[in-house]
Amino acid sequence: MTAVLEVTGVTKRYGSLAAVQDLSFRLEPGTVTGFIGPNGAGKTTTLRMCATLELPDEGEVRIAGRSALDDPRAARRVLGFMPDTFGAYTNTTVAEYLDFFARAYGLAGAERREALQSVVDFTGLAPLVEKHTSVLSKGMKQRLCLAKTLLHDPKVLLLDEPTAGLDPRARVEFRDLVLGLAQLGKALLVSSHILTELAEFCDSVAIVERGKLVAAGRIDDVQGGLERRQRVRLRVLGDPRAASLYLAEQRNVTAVSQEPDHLRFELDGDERALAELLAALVSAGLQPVEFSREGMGLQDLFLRLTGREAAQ
Amino acid sequence: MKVVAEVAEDFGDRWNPLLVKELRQSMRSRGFAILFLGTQLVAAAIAALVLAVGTSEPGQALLMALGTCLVISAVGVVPVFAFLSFTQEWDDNTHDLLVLSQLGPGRIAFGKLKCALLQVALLSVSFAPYLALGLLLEGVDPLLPITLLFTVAVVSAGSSCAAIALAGVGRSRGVRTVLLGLFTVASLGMCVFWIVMLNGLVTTSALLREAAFWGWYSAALLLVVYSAGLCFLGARAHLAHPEEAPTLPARAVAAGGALLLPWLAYAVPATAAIFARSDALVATATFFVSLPALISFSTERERLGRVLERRLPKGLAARLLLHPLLPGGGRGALLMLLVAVLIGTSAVGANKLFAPPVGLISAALATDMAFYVALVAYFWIYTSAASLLTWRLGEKLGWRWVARLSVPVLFLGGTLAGMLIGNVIGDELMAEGGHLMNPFWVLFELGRTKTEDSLPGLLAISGVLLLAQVPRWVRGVADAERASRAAQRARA
Ligand SMILES: Nc1ncnc2c1ncn2[C@@H]1O[C@H](COP(=O)(O)OP(=O)(O)O)[C@@H](O)[C@H]1O
Ligand SMILES: [Mg+2]
Repeated sequence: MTAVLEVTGVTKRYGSLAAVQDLSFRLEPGTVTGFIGPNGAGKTTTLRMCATLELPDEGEVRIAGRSALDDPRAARRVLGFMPDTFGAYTNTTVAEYLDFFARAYGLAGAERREALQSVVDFTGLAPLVEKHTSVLSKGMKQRLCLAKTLLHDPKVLLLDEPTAGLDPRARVEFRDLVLGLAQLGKALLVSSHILTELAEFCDSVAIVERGKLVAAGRIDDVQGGLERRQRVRLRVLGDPRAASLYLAEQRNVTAVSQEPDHLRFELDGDERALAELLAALVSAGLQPVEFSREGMGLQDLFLRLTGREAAQ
Repeated sequence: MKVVAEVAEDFGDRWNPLLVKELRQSMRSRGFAILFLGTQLVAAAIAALVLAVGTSEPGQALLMALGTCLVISAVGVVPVFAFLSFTQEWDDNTHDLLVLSQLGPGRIAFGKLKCALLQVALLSVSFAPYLALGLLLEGVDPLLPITLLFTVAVVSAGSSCAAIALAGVGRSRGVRTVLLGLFTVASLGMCVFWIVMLNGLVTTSALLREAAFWGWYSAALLLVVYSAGLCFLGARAHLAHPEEAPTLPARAVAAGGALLLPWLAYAVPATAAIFARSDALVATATFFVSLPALISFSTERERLGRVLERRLPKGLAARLLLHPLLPGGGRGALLMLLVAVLIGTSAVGANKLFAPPVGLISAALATDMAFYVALVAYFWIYTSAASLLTWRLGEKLGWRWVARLSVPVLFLGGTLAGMLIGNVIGDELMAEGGHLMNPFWVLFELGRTKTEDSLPGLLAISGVLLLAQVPRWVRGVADAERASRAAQRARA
């Protein structure tokens, strides 16, 4: 499939700090891509570069086959960017806010009325159109922002931390909106610093840490690649130190830690490697009484990928 | 009902969306309503007072009081509203949303300007009845109220352009606050200046029947319109995508205006008699009006534009020749040089064409040019020093401001240092400011005596500064070469 957004080797420096380094990824129509990384990883910077608000020092951003850097106005016609801060005018109602942006996108007459009607219906804002923007709840503001972003029917949607600060219910509703947009054939890039929030509705993920891409691809592949690493809990009869020494000598074993009555370690390999290790332990006379694999959840994977300080 | 509403809405389609939006907002906000009603009340009170007290010249008294009132609201307050309206876009986080829309930088800036113009129009219309009342009283030239309204409208629009340009720079809240402070002070200054000017005109309205007055008047308004145009283009540049030297239009106007203004001033026939003897005045005024733009160009530090980079001829020789013209290549300083040469030739040419026999036409071209050469040399000295500073320190935005401030600092510092040295070595003339590094003195002397004693010294300093730019150009060319090779590799 052809990519509607193609980012290649993009780098952005602020003084000596490289906020984004040699980042590459692509979005396809009808897919949702999670863009995940801890705070300060460079997500916002990347999204702003894709949205033509910032110019990369190196690299290229292509939207619908054309360079967004050479022709930003053409790119802006097909992309919708929803920033992480809600931008709304004071003294404005929901209807006026949407009407203003519809005009600003060059929609006129019946075309404008149709566009307004369809985004209001899609985001379920109809009961609120006469309300002032300042009295909306966080979830409703987020919907209004999305409605504004959808007015000119963009092909690519860049949403910066759209779920931050939403209560669980609003989050579920927002997820449904995003899935609905993907079904309409739009390509979505949704950033977040919490992986689990996105895992349930993303087709693929790109994980960044300190401006660098650490993993990217379909969510199963990323997970599968990481699952080659298994965490194992082991308890042996007798002195655990002997087992610890033995494990330390194995090539595919890492991160051995000794706790009062058991050991933990990580094994680089699949289930066969696990079985082989158990057999080797027994034949070395170590008498295992407990040998169990501990699951790695998505959040664990993320923590492993991005270092301990990440998460929330 | 629905049909009526739709027709009304579609009528708005032809308007700038920003104007529609701000109109809606202002119906709910109190700022302009208070200003409007306040000035109405004051105007009514003034009219009543003048009629009741019965001064010797009631028409003049009324016009002076009303004029003051109108200037304060239109020149003092409306531009500050324009400033706040623009910074509100930063505060509301809507600036980026506007930039991303299909409005484009020109229509955004123009939309904001139109809002200010509409406010001034409303104010002017509301003052019209009182001004008409002034006409009915004795001692008022009918041209006076019209001149008053027109002047206030033009000056207010010009100030609003400056407000929008300044507000566009204020991405950070701190900078915004400082700029608002500066702009408010400047607006007050403008108010005082135009109140004095217009009140002076009211008391000596016989001037309105003299051609020479209209010459001066049009020259002054021309300068206002010209600086407003520069400010508008600056505002537009800040709103544009950080692509392809967005300051190019502003540069073009800075250069073109400097070229054209002396011509226009001479071309107004009535003014020729005055300007033939003070061409230096027009040129200097033009130059000072363009100076902020020129300082800003000479302290720019951008990378080469992408499109520019691709189209640039390859090869070391071409690069060396072209680099000084490109962003970050010291082109601000070079542009200065070009502008100054343009001003000089343009003014001398215009003088030859329009000046009456008593003017400079009898003097040799070399002495004509001396004044302009000196002007060029001074601006080159100050801005190229700033440009060099930017090159060395300009990575951080804060340092760019240091470089910008260095222009007036160098200017004042040079003047004071010369006086100090004069005091120390006991040279009386130097101690009083009669020395090379006091541009005012040198230019004044040159304009008066048409001798060029100081020129060799000035040219020597300029030459040294030109040589000091060479390493930067060489390095810049090498950097550009490296970057374009890297880009080629990336593409391959
Ligand atoms: N305008 C800027 N000037 C200087 N540094 C910046 C600027 N914008 C972002 N940064 C820095 O770039 C890094 C990445 O920021 P950002 O993209 O906002 O991260 P994220 O959105 O992933 O939290 C941060 O270290 C931040 O301090
Ligand atoms: Mg962010």
